[in-house]
Amino acid sequence: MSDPYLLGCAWHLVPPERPAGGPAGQRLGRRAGASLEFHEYRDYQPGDDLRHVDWRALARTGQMHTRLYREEIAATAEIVLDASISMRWTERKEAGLRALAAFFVGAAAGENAVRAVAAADPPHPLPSEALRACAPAALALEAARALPDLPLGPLLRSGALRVVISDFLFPHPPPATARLALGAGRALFVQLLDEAEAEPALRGALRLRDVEGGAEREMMIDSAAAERYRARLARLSEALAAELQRHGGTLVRALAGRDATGAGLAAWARRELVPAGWLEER
Amino acid sequence: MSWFGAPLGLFALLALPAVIALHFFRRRHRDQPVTGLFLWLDAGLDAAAGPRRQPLRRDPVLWLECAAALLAALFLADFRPLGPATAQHVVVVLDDSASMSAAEPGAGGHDTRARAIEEAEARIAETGRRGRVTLVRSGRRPLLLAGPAALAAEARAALAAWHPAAPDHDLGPALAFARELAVGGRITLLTDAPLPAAARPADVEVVAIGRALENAGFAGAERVPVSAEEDEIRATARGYAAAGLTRALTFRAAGQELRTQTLSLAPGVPVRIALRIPRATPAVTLELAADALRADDRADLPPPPRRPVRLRVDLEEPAGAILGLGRAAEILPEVQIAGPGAPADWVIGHAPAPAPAWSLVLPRGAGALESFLGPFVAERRWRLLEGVTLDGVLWTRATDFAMPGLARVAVGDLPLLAEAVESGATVLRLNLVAARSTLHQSPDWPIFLLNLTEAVRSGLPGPRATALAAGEAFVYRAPEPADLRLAGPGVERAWTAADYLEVDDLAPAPEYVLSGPEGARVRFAVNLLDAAESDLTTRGSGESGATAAAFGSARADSPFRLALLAALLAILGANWWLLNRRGAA
Repeated sequence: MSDPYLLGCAWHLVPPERPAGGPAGQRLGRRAGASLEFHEYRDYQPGDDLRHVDWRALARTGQMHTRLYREEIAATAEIVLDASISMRWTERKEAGLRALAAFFVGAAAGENAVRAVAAADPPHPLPSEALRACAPAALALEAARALPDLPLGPLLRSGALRVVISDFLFPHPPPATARLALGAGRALFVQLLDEAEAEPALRGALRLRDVEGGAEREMMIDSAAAERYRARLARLSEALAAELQRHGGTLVRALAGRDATGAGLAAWARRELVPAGWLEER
Repeated sequence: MSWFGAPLGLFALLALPAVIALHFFRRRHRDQPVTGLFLWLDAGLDAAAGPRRQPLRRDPVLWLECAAALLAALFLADFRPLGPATAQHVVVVLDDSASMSAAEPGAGGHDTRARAIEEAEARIAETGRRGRVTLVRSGRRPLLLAGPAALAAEARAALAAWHPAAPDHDLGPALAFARELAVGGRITLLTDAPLPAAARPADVEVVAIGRALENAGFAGAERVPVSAEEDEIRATARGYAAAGLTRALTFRAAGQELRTQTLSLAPGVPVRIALRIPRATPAVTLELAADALRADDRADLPPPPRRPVRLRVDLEEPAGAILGLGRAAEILPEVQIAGPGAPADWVIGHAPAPAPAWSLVLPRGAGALESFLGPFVAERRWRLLEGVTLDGVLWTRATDFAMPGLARVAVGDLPLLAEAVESGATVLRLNLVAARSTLHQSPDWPIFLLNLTEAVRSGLPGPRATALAAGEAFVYRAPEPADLRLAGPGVERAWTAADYLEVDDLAPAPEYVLSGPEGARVRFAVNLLDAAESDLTTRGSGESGATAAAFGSARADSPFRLALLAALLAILGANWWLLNRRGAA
């Protein structure tokens, strides 16, 4: 099974603890709430709803216990896709983006209201059905502005389960990038990189040209320079991850050729997302 | 030298090591699109950090650029392996005026002639191996020294033999002559003073190679018979300098010093010298101490020619007495009065004399008379009327006197003096009744007689003069046709059965000898007596005009140059294509 959407359907996204918005009652939350499904007992605490005091147990034991019910969650999953030019730097990377999008639509389907947003210029919503088929026409990767510079706010829902897929290769400070997690119930940032971005094999005299800004710089690249690049990339990712953590978000990295295609996608999900509590098998 | 029309263009070969050096340090920056340029900015070594020497790659681009540099150098240097397709032609006009021979006294000083030869040699060298050279010597009549389109060797030989000595003259005829000979080639004028802006020809390269020098020289010199026993040497010397000059003057004759004196020559003030010598004295040489211009420091004055005019008066008295003809021998130079019936060169009477004598025929005045106070119409440019005005003259004519011939003086439509040629002799009819006229009392009468005497004398055998100023023609009339030969420094001319010679453009020289079959007939000298040439203070140097453009366009027309240019462009195009292709890759 290599269809990323179907792969995603084998999992479900773990929702935020406090859903906000979306149709009520579609999923049970992890916290106790006001649904009819019993969750557990605990000792009565002042302020507890007296309707939930277990009067029978009080009669039997003389102790006041409060019945807790699982909270009903009406969750929204937002999948934000970086539609900048850099996301089609290689065909592999572009295919990886579409595969991840389909995967997360599949994982969010059924129990969440799925909303897809293209972080294009200007940003706009995307039909999630189109993302299921990984159709290139559904998402044009043409934006020349970096993700933090786009007016995404009006398209994002507060409390939603937010998955942002981007390479996060822009020179903005990590706090600016991490602000994309603001208002989300949970925020998962997937850093999709081509293998050549993560482990560049460039050597010699090169005129490096930024695919988005068009800026150029003539440089001599040797193995030491490549190593310095890798170190900088690692520092950037670490700083972004730390910043996201402060906002309750998570950063995971996926390599387009290894992690975002076929069986690699399932392996990546098990390796990166399940341990982090983002996916559970249905 | 001969392979290249413009050897300076070979400096472009310096581009070869430059190209190779650039390839040593060249970095070929491949285009590489990246997504996170900012991550590289501190990672990579910036190209601006300074070049590093790298191994030279055997790259087609290197070979193409080396070939382009080589071709560019050959193109700029006008490389012609087989010589120019059309031989380059330069016409060098040499100012032949005497001042071009000026030289600072002492070794190593400025020598105008030597500088002119150097410049001419340089122009000749520029024409290359197959170049052609035409040398034109300026003068009143420009002369071809070499060519037209002579080989360089011939031109060099002619240059070596060139010694400028002509009097002041216009350079225009020489330039016009050069233009006719150049046929699109280069024209260079070598002179010793920059031309005034208005006189600079645009199509001629004018190179002035003179230098302002002080000089003293003779501005005039003549030997005049003053009596039957004596001649007088009359000379004028001038100094040309900002300050006064002092020069020693020596008179010599037959190797003996006649007199020595010191002249003080103030600027612009002529100093006149006179010396009487016995008539039998041979040629006298006047010599000033040597200075920048040697040609004007010497004047040679051979004995003047003796050509007395025999005059016979056949007029009835009192006309002859009224006209003062009895004193003609006193007032007219070198005139002898012939007795009645004696042979004469000129006869004044009432009827024409037999040829070849000239006749001045007057009426007897017996018939009707008619008097006029003017206005008289005189042909003043006629040599016999030069200086004659007829102002205030009362003229009485005989109404029955026939006046055939060309009227030279008239009143109204009545001729008063007419010239005719009868039986090969000149007959002048002067319708003047002396007793009723005042012409003989006016200054016009002796002037007319003097003019007439000299006109008669000019028809007599012998030289007109034996001490000529440069530029003046040597004129000689032989008693009868004979084979004649003229010899002098650099001159050897001969004539067959000639009875009249007029030779001009003779360079200053102490002695020329005209010989007939029997031997030497006349010895004469030509002296530089030209203040314009002696004045060296106005000389200078400089260059003007431009023929480089025309010369350059001639080179551009060369098929080989065009082929070089085409190859160069093709190589540059190929190089550009290669580099572009690499950029795209």
